[in-house]
Parts: sequence; C-alpha cells; structure tokens
Amino acid sequence: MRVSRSWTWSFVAPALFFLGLYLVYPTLATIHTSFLDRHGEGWVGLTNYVYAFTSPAMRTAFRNNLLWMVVFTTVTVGLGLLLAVLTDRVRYEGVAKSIIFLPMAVSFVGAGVIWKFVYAYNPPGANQIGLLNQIVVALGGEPVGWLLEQPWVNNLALIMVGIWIWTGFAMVILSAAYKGIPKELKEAARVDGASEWQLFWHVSLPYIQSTIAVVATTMIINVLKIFDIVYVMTNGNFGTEVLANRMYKEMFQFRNFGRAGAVAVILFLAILPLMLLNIHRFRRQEVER
Amino acid sequence: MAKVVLENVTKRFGDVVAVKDANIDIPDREFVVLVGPSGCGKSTTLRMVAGLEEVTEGNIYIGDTLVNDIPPKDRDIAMVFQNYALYPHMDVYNNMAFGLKLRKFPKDEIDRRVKEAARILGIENLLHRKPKELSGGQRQRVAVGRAIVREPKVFLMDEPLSNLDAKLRVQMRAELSKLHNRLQTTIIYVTHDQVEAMTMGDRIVVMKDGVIQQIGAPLEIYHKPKNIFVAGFIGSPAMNFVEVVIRKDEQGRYWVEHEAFKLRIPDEKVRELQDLPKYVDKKAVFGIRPENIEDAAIVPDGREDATFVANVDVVEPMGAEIFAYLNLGDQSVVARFDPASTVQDGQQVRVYFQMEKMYLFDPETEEAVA
Repeated sequence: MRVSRSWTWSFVAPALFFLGLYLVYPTLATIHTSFLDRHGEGWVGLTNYVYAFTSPAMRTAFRNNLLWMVVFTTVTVGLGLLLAVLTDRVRYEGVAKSIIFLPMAVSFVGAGVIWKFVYAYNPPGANQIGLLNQIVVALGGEPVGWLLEQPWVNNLALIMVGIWIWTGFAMVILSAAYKGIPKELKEAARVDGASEWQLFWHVSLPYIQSTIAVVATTMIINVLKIFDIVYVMTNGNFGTEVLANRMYKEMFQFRNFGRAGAVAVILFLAILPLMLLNIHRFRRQEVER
Repeated sequence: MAKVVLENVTKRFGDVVAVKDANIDIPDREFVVLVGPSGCGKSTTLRMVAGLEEVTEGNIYIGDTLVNDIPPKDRDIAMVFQNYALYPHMDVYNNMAFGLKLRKFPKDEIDRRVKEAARILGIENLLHRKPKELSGGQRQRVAVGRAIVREPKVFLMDEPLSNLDAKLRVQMRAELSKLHNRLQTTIIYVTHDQVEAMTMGDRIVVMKDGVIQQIGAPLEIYHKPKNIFVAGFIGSPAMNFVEVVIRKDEQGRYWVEHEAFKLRIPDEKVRELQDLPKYVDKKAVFGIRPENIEDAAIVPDGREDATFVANVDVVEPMGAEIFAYLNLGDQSVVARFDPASTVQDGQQVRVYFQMEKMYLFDPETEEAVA
C-alpha cells in the first residue's frame, strides 16, 4: 500500500514537535544564552567561555572531572569485569550479584548522605562518629578528614561513592556478555593449550570487547555529568568542584545566566562525541545480530 | 600419534549415568567412529578423552600415559567441534596459529604449518578473512585446519559435519577420510549418522543409553550385529523386524512362521545358528534387511519356500531403487526392489526373502541368536 507523504509526516509530526520544543529549542537557547551577560540580555561575545576556561574554580572543576573520568571509569569497568568473571564461578551467584547491584537502587542523594556519615570527621581526641575514622582510630591511627584533605583524599573519597553505586551496574551488563561467550569457544581454547589466564585474555576479553566499550563510554558520560554526590557531600568545596555542580552554582546561586550557559554548552560538547560513539556502536551491534 | 585406551570408564552427572563401564582399545592410527542416537553418551565419551569432562570411574590412557587428571591443554589432542568454535575476533590464519603461539613455537615454524594446512584444505586464499566472512563449509575447513597444524597425538571430532548441507557433508566425508590416510593419526569421531560411521570408520563403536553395544569393523557390524538395536541402527533403510515362531517339521527342516508367511530357514543358516533348536515352537524376532527382499517377478529363480504374497501399501520410486512398504498382517516392512519392478500402490506382489541373509534375535534379551 502506498502512503502519501503528508500522511507519513502527520504521524511523525507530534514526536518532532515535542522533541523540538523540549530538546532542540532549549539546546539552541542555551547556546545563545552562553554568549549573553549575567542577566541573559546584552551580547558579551566569548567572555563567558574565557571565564570558563581560565577561572581557578573552573580549572579545578576540569581537573576533577578528568580525575573522575579516569578513576571512576577504570575502576567501575575493571572491578565490574572482575566481579562478573568471579561471580560466574560461585555457587550463590544470584545472591552475590544482587548484593553488589543493590547500591544502584539507592538514590545518589541518599548515597551521599550515607557516605557522609561514613566519612564523618571529628578532631583527634573527640569521639569519631564516622565509621571509617572509628576504624582508623581503633587501629591506633589519627582520624583523617576524608572530605577535607585536598586534592587527592577528598576527591577520591567522592569518587569511591560513585564507584560503590555504579560497579554493580557495570558488573551486570558485563556478566551478561561474559555468559554469552559460547562454551565451545572456551573449550576449543583449552584444547588448543590455553591456560585460564590466556583463555580470558585472548578469547573471553576480545569476545566481549564491544560490550566493555559500551559500558566504558556509558560510565564516562555518567561521570561527565556527575553532580548529586558532589553537591550533597561537599558542594564543591575544598577543591572538589565539578563541572555540573559549577553550572548549578552559576545558575542558581550566582544567578549568572551567561556563565551557566557556557558551562552547559561545554558539558554538552564534551558528551556529544561519546554519545555518538555509543550510538554508532549500538547500531553496528544490531547489524551484527 | 598414539593409541587410546578406555578402561572401565564410567561418567555420572549426579544420578544420571551418561557412560557406563566403557572399554575401548584404539590402536595407533585408527579411525574409530562412536555412533549412536542422541543422548547415548558418545559425545561425553569423546569429551572425557579430551579432558573437558572428568572421568567418574575408570582410566583413560593416551599413548602410555594415564590422562585422567591431566588438563586438556597438556593432553596433546586437537578437537573439532560441531559448531566449529572458531575465534570470531581472529582471522583464519590466527585461528589456526593460536594453539601454536600458545605453545611458543617459532614464528617461521608456525607460518610453515599454517600454510601447509591451508594448502591441504584449499583455504589458502581465505587466510586473512574473519570467520563471519566464511561459509559453513569454509569454517569447517578452518576448524579442521586448526586441529591439523597442531600435529597432535589424537584428533577428536564431535559431529563435525552435522551443520553442513547434505551435498557438502558427502564431500567433506570423503575429504576427512583422505585426510586420515594422509596424516596417519589416531582419530576419534563422533556422529549420530550411521552412513558417516560406515563410510569413514576403520572401526565403529555403537552406543546406546551410555552402554557400548558393539565394537567392530563397519561390515562386521553390518553383517553380524550383536543385538536388535545395532541391527536396526546400522543400515539404511533400517532392518525390518517381525515377531515369528520357530517351527521344526518331521524332516528336520526349520521354518519361521508368521500369520502372513511361513518361510524355510536354509540349512547352512541352521548350521550357523547353533542355539536354534532352543527356540523351536517359541517366539523369536526375525530380521531381514530391505535389500534382501526381492520382487519375485524379477528374481524368478527364488526358492518357493522363501516366497509369498504380500500387499503393497506404498511404493516410493527413487530412480536407482524402489522402496516398497509391504503389509504383513499388522506389521509393515520395507523392501528395496530393483527399479525394474513394476509394483504399484495397493497391489499384491510375490516377494522373495533371501533367507540366507536373515537374522534371528531373542525377544527377551534382544541379543542375536548365536
């Protein structure tokens, strides 16, 4: 049956309209705003971008986002893969995986609150209500200001919370891929003379590499947008600022529309290529299936 | 190159016995085929030789080494899987070279062996393709090539041809036989296809429900099946079985009696079947292969006491032969007639049984009458 062109468009139109209204228009408006002053009125050219790339606060945010990207992604994917392989061999696989996946069910804000208690710090001599410091003190150490000591301790402490939440997710996806490796393929490698380690390295890992790549890019996208954990636990103080939190502050605390817009555009541009990469990969996988 | 010996090998999965007390003695360079219906334990047996399944009881020797506790990688065997199990991320060359690389062979030696195997199998032009770019038959060759380059003591093949289409299967069957002649290596081959077993094996091991039914050369198994199962499994179309009563007349002649026929057992067959007198006036299972039933109109010199009239149910002309389904009372038997036969559906036909090629089995034990 031939369908007329206008008829086709009438089906697509509602979706296009809402996408345009809620996605395309805000994007274009934000880009426009990023070239305006703090009230979103006068044209200021690249001033906001100059600020975004040169101000100390923003440079800290860039550095921290990079740190998050490297540490968070490496650990969630690496640990997720390790857990996927290990849980595959334990008897109570379902239980073990559920427990590891559980933090995913906690909201970021909730997780932030929980871990704020874990990291709580009182000066030496005072009672430590923080779990971690209580352990440190009990072992005869000095309490550590987990969220105060910059730049490494506090940033890594925050990243830990993200890892705690997301590792389960990475594990579940990677585990599904790992289980998809045909049994005969592993057996063929064993007969061919591969040790368990060589089998993993030369057969299993290449077999699931596209899944690993998808999980890794998903994690990077997550991390570029990281906001809640930082907002709740430190609000970007003590050198823990990140881009999304900076954007929020510019917008809602400093009421600087132009700068907030510029940070938003930078975030958008940083995520865009990864998003495209993921879509491209996803399409290719669909084709291969 | 090595012999393989299975000594009282049993494999249990929980309460299920997959293989029961298997004893197989495979001399060096023999091509032995494990055959049986699915679930008969043939693959499990092969996988135990490979080391992919642990032996529950008994011993397996490759060469003179007891391999029960030796992992697959140290057994010096190569295996071809039913679905080929090629490494999807490696090209053909690396698929074949993988085992050698793991064993740290020098590069030029690897190169020599891979190219040699590729030449033998006619896949030299595919060396840089990925498995997904190959057809089923080509993948099959690569899988075999991957085994050849290793120059192992024993080749294990688990239904390697069953994923190929019929024509290619016949072709590869011949090629694998040729390959065996050329390589002179012990091959253990698993199949459910009795034609593959008959045509390729030096010896056949027929299995059923985890128990070895018979071991022997193809024609020996074909001509002297030990029991009803083996008789029915080997040969296509399968042997016909009819329940009969053995009779002996005053002249000392033996007959098989059925509601549809009464046929004389030839004297030389009587001499051969020493236990026959025990079955007089008792039930026995009479077996005759389709190719040993003739249209009497075409074989006019058939003996009268081996000829009777039967109703033809359906006729299947195959060109080179004709399959006729005959009604014998409540039973149906298949006959393979010469294409010159003119029988039609629903007709009556005089059929002649080559009684010197008959088989007789005990209805209780299902063993062949000795």
